[in-house]
Amino acid sequence: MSNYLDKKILEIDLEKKTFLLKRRNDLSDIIGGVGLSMKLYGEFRDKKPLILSIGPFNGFFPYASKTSVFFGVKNKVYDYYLGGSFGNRMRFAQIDAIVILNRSRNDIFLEIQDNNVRFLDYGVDFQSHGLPGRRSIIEFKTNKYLHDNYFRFSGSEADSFLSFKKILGIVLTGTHNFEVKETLEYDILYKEILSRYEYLTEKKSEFPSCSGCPLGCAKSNIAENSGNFLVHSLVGCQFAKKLYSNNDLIVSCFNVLGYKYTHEDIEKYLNKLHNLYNEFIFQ
Amino acid sequence: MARRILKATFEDRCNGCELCVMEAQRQLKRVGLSDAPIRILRDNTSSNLYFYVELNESLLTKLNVNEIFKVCPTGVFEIIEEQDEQLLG
Repeated sequence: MSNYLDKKILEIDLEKKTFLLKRRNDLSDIIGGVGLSMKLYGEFRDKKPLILSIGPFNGFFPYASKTSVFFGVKNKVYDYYLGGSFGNRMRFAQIDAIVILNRSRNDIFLEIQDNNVRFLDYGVDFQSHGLPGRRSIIEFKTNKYLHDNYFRFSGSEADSFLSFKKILGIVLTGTHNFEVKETLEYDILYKEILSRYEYLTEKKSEFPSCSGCPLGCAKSNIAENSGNFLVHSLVGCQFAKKLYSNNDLIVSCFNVLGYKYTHEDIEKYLNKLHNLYNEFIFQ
Repeated sequence: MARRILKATFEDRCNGCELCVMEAQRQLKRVGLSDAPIRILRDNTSSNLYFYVELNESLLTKLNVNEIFKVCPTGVFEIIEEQDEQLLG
């Protein structure tokens, strides 16, 4: 891949029904996930943004399986980490963050395929959109939003915010494949991480799993909120915190993917994140 | 000569983790879902989440199916050995 450090931000304006994909190199010191969401929230807060973001390991490494969902209501901000396949599809759509601005006048579905967005009116056969095997769906069902018919937010704030924006559903398809330059090293590291079951704080079970996680744990369906900033910047699972807060492992992953981040960069980034954090009141 | 063929015999066990998809794609030296020899399809229409495993046998013949078999955490797959018809004929 050419330049991992640029961030691709898909801005969608529900009021104007327009969208714009921006490739931004000014965000290169922000690793991703919650850090990226906070930065973007600061830029767009007047437009009531709903921000979905991923980190550098989503789609590439096991247990980096969540999607950061970030929004503000009045003076409070909310961050959730939704399980399932959405973050994986964002990676393969080559989008680091989706920023959904303003409020639609009527109920709509969003169909996103790579860098293209369609605004679909209520009444369409939503399930027929997106490419099977490469799509991911968030949809309002009965009284709450479900992702892939199973994964959901904890509490009611995210559901209320999506309803406020008049979004009935989002179907996202990612069609890009990536080549990894250091194939052998990547393969070794991937399998090493995957094999570290003993580092996980949740047990294997028989429930649906998030993409890239073998566990099928009992808690995967409820989105996490709050927790470790580094883990949530990588948008890894909180149950894999021991793995994704290990700087040596993280730097190895960065290297193999072609990122230039060092231990020092991670420390600087975390300091910057704490400063950003102090601007907001988290729930 | 026997051919080793991957079959999703126990599809109902699939938990949707897609590790098999990633393993197959890694063997083809890529990361992603396009042109994948294995696809995991989700049925979103019923009241629960069900998965279906779609295999492209012609693409899978080039791969080490044993590694795909091993990576599945729920035992969806089995490997069947079939005699090559050309040799038998």
